[in-house]
Amino acid sequence: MNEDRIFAIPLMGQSLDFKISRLFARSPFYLIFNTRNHNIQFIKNEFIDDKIQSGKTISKFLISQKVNIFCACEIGFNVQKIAEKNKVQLIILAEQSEFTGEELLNIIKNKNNN
Amino acid sequence: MARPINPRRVFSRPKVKGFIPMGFYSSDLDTIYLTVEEYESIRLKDYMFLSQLESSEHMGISRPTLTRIYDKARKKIAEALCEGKQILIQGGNVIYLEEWYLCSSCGSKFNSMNNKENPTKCPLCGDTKVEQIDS
Repeated sequence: MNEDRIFAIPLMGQSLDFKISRLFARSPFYLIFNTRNHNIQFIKNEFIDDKIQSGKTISKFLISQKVNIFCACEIGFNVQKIAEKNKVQLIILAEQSEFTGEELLNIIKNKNNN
Repeated sequence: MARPINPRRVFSRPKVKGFIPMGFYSSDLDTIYLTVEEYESIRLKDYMFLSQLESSEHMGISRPTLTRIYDKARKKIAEALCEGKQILIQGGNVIYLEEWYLCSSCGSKFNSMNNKENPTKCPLCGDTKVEQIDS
């Protein structure tokens, strides 16, 4: 498969040592990971304080950054709707998982090396 | 001849098949059957807090139809709560917008970007122990 797989992972801070945020749309930062070139990028959530529809806005923004996989513990209705429309894959992590950015990245990297 | 009923659009399958009452007066013999479209109407209106119009658009039905389905669902749930009956979620005329899969290795759930093909590998850990989440 030649298509780039670009993950958006919600993180509590701007480093791989921070844990994954439980909420997707209200996460302070996003880790963007490209599985083809292993490129890592941190994006600050500028819409975190939006009173309404922050999920819609941040999803559209992430999709404009060519993200095609949203990975989170909880994903709200607006994010689901935008993802469905734009053919973005959703991955909901197991409820008890409390990965740091680095731990989750290692899982994804191991998968792509196999 | 009556017009055939259009299938209602449902985002994903319910997490559980039903609910069992507890306690002395509970009765697992009496069962209330909640259809998947009734469950979806409750989920959209009372859990996602969508308006009637938004919910009806989401399910691909008119607003009066949604109201009818929703009222029926609430009556059934009220009956089950007050009379201690078990609820089974099954049946109904629905099409699922997305199929969800569970990876038994890492425990994550995921949907398929291409609904025509069943995924054979977990997109996160790459394990092949993947099964479709069924209602």
